[in-house]
This record gives sequence, C-alpha cells and structure tokens, in this order.
Amino acid sequence: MKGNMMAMILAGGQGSRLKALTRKNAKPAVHFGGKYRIIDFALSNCANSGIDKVGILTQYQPLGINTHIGIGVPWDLDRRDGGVEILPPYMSTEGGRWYAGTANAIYENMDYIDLHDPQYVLILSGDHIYKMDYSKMLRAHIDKKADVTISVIEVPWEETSRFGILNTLPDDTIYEFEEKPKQAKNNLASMGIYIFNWQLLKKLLLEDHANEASSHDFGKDIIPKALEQEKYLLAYRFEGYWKDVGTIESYWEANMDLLDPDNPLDLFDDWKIFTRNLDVAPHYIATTGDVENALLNEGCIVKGVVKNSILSTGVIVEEGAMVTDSVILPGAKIGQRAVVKKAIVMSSATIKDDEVVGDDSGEITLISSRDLGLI
Amino acid sequence: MINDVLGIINLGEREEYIKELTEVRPIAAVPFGGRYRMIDFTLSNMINSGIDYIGIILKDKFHSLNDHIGPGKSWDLDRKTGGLRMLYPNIEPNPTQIAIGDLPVLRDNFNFVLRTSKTHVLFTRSSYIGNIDYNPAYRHHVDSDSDITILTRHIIRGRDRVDLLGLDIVSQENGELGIGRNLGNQDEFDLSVEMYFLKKEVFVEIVTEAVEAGKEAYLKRAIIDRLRNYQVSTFTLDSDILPIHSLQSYYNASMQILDPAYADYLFYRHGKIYTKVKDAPSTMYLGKTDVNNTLIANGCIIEGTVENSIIFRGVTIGRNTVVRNSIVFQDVTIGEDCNINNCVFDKNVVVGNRKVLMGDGGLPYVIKKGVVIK
Repeated sequence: MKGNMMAMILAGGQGSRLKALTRKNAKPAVHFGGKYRIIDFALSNCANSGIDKVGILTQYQPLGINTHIGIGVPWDLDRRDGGVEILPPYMSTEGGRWYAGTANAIYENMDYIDLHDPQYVLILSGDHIYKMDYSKMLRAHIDKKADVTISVIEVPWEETSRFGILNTLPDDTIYEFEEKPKQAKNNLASMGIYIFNWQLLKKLLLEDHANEASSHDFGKDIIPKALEQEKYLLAYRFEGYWKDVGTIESYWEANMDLLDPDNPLDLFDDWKIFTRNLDVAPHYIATTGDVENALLNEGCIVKGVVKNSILSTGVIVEEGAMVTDSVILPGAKIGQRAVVKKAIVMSSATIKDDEVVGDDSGEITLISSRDLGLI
Repeated sequence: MINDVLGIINLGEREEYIKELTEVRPIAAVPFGGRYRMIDFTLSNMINSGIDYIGIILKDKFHSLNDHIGPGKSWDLDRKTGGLRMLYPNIEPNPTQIAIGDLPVLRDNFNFVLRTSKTHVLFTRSSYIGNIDYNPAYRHHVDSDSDITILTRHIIRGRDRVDLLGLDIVSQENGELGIGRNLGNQDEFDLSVEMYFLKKEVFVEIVTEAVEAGKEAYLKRAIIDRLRNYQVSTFTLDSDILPIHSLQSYYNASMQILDPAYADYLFYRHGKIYTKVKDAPSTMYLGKTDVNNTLIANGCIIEGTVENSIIFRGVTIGRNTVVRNSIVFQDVTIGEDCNINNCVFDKNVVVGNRKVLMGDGGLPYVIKKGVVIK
C-alpha cells in the first residue's frame, strides 16, 4: 500500500478569525499545545501513516511554515525520493497567479503530483488538531472501490449549521453535500480530508479550471461536481478527537482540552506528534513556584503560580505572578506579581510587573507582542 | 581559524569511581542534566566553537553511545566532508591479550588523523561538563606557537567545591611544567581538564613514537611523559568546568544545575547544548502538585511532590509520592504514596506503590537500570 498515495496539505490559509495570532503567521504555523505548530498534527499523521511524499501548499505569510518545515527532518520526511516539498504559488509564461482556491492550489501543482504518479491523492488541511491513521481510510477507499472518500465526523445536531454536511445513504454512500445547512438532514460533517483516485481528481481539476463560474474550492465545487458525474463518494467515519481551531475561542478550547486527562487526544500515546526541536534545557520550577494542572514545555522558568494553563517553550513566570486558564506562547515573559487570567499571550510578549490582563468572566483576552509573535 | 582543528574525544576513561552508572554505558553516555548525555557537552562545545570534524575513540559498551549519537544529526555532524567519525577498536583475529588503552585504537584508526588537512588537534574527554568557547584557547595556542597547550581550570579551595579524587593538576616547578596529583597541600592550583591543543605533527609524532615503543597504552601518559621535549603552555579556561568522574562529583554537579545562574551558564553561555531528540510532549502536571527547586524535562507526568531533584524525559511520578534530592533518569515510573530521598534512579526503573527509598546524606543510593521494585 505504501507509495501508492501521496498527501497534499493545504497550508496557505490566513485564518483571519484568529486575529493577531495569524497577522504574521499562516494558521497552520500558529503555536499549539506547548511545543507544536498546528500543521504538526497533519504532518505527523502522514509520517505515522507511512506516507512519505507530502506536498505543502503555502501562500499567506509562509515564513513561519517554511522555517518550521525545512526539509522535513523532524517528520523523517527528508527523503531521497519524495519526502516533503513546499509548494508556493509561482510565475509561468502566462504570468503569476495566486492560488484562487483550495482546488486551484492543487490544479497549479498537478505536475508535482504527476512527477510521483501516485494512484491516490490525499487532500488535507494544515489547520486541524487530530490524530488519524490515513492508511485505514485508504484501506476503506480501496475495499469499497470508491472514487472519492471523504472523512466525516458526527457532530451534535445543533451544531450542524457550522459545518459542511454530507448526506449519506445507510451504506455511507454520499449523495449530497450541503455547506452550513440551516435544516440539516444529517449530522456527518466533512473534515476536509479527501482521498481521490488521482486520474479522476486530475480530470475534475481540469474541468473546474475551465469553468469560470467556479470558486475553485473542494467543498463548494469539486465534490458537487463529482456527485453530479455520479461518482462513488464514500463517507469514512472517523471516531476520536478532531478540532478545527478556526477562532480564538476554539483555539483556546483545543489547548485547554489537552489539560483534561480524559481527553481523547492523548499526546502521550504511541502515535507521536513530531515537531522541530528547539534544543533548550528542561524547565525549572523554583521554590516559590507552584504548578497545578498544567502542561509545561522545555526552557520554562517558573517562579510564580501556574494553574490550568499551557506554557510553551522558554516562557518565564516571575515570582508572585499568577497565571490561570491561559495559553502562553514561546518566549513570553510574565513579570513579577502580574496576573494573567483566561488569556492567550503571544510569542515573546511581555506582561509587565504588577500588570493585570484578562478576566475570568468569559471573553478570552489576546495579548500580542510588538513583533507579532513570529519565532 | 578554529576550523583548522580536528577534534578527538577520547572515551577511554577511568570509571572506577562512578561504576554505579557506567556498568551499562561509557561515561560519555551517562545521562546528565535532565535530557542530555555527558558527551553532548563536549560535542556541542566543539560544534559551537566551529570545530566540524570530530573523531570519537571508543573503548567498549558501544551500544548506548551509538544509539544516542547515530549519524550525528542532532549536532549537525552528518556531513559529507568532515563530520563525525566513530573510531572503533579492531578485533584481533588471534588475541594474545586484551588490548587496553586508547593508543591501539588510535593506531588502528590513524588514517583519520593522517589524512585530514587540519593542522591542529583538540584532544579531550567526555567526562567534564561546561559551556566552553574553545576559540580563546586556540588563539593562545597558535599565537604562542606552542606544540602543546594544556587547558586548565583554576581552583581555589573552599570557593570551588570540586571532588578532586583521581584528578590531575598542573604544576610548574623551575619553569618546567608537570602534571601530577593533588594531595591536598595547595589552597590554590590549576586543575587539568584533560583538554589539550596539539600541533597535528606533534600529535602524530607522539602517537607514532608511543605505539612503536609499545610501552604505553594511554595517550595521555604518552603526552605527559614527553612534555619536556616540546614547547608546552597552559591556558586557563574562563569557564566553570566540572569533572564528572565519581558518583559524588556526578551528584554534586547535578545539584549545582539547580542554581538558575549555573544552569543559564551551562546550557546557554556560548551556545546551546544539543542532544538526541525524543519527540515527547510537554510535561503534564496533574492536579495540585508541589514542585520546588527542580529541573524537569519533557514527556513526564507529575502528580506528587518533587523537591531539589532532576527529572529526565518520560518519567511518571504518582499521587502523594514525595521525591527529594534525587535524580530520576529517562522513562522511570514511580508509583503512588512513595517516599524517596537522595536516590539516583537509572533508566526504566519501576517503583510500585508505598515504597520508601533513602540514600544517606552523602552518597546517593543508586537503583540500577531496569530494576523493578514492587
């Protein structure tokens, strides 16, 4: 099975609802969970699923992603044949074009896929938090002889209007796609994870490109087109933790979920999430420090109190400071006696001595740094 | 430029005072500082100083070191030219005696030295920790046109708590340099940190002579015996280098890195210390923990009380357990309601619930690798 399928990770999105977090960084490069960047999940899933050819489509603020991925060493994707490839928009004889949509991004890189000539192509988003074995999904795709397989997750009925919903027959054959329906007929949400037979996808992309009315989007254009052509679209049910961290709230929640020992996404299990290592010392907790229910990464120095929070690499919490229900990104510094409540403190930001930020009433406070948090 | 220097790390080290930790590994592979192995400091110091061609003279117990170093990726030493060379002892087809010492290994791998265009050799061990920039010492070595430069650390008795058992001190009598033992008579002296810069031709000459004479087994001995033949100088390193040659010095040095100022020096002063990546998640503190003056690496799950301790990667410490003044190596699991003081847990030790383990105030109690205490 290995070698048959390559992956294309869409990582060019801005994620504007993440506000300052994505002012200098594409959403997939945003720091997450103490030591990761969001794209590490999709990329590690690929590595763990035995996929060794991965294209990463970048567009918006790519520096963070480029430097993070490099040649793919942390994911063991620095391969002679294949490995990881960063694919930004480019100039051609017809001029330069930005990627006009998710489908267009793949269309523009058909040569790259043809170079490896896979039988199947896996399309992924670089901005979801989950652990998934794509080889099982491919198994289902092959066993059922599907043309397209879309990974779906059951969502609560009251939330169906937030998702792209796939309407299915009892055997999980998809017959309709509805984007954010007001009156949903089903509660299976598309996770934006697709397996296509490459030759079919290529045909669909060429047709889509020729269609000037198209928005060149997988959900809105390619999937309806495949349904229209009566292709066999299979829904592959995923069970487990999956979160699209599209907003400040969901980003904060997904981080807080990691502090729950019963959270179905277990960072400590054998399905490791790989990331670039920053080569810093273990974290140090001083005699004045106190830590309760928290996730602390290497390089931190804690002289104050940390409760229900995540401290990323190299965070310093000074004496007398109190950090609760917060996500502190790499290199941030919390001054003496400062109070941080229900906040996201961006990379390298400084909370001054005695400063009070955030409140635990409801809204999440986002503290941005002067350099906008790019490390 | 220091990239004219060939680095040689000699693992033929004395282990009799630290055998509790070196039964399964050379000193080079002894875990130190929560996520490192001893050799990480030597390798990183060389790399950070600009030395990019390094040979490691292996003695025995290769497995754990090979596992740790691999092709040298973590130190950026997986290079086409230069990089890292492991110098293995040859296996004699008809051995009449067990080869001892580092000279036979060097002889068997001598092309490594002969064929390089590097003009100087930095000959070191892996049993010292510190954050060292070798450039000033190298400049002194070249500017003074020395054949051999011995690097030292200045020690003042009382101020510097260094266990001197079995260590060399550099003495100067009537203008002649010597290396000898400290018998406790001097209040102030220079400790040899067993790091030497040598002109390559001098290094080659000494090794060739010693191998041909066949009387010596150790290169250090061969160098010391020939000091009078060469122009020798010393250079005092401006670094708080600590020798790790006994269980006592290991334990003391470990406790010293709990001083944030020393940790800041050791882990960052002239560059980072690199080590093998483990891809563990951040450390999880479950519920109300009580952790004081402790260094904790990634991948741990902490529920109990930890004080004045060093906790390596992937350690689990259960509820209501108290760990004090201890060093806990990688992947150790300690159950609930335990009381632990003054211990060193080697890798993969498993301690059940309600156990009491205490070392006495001086030497820590060492629980050997993989031991299960149920």
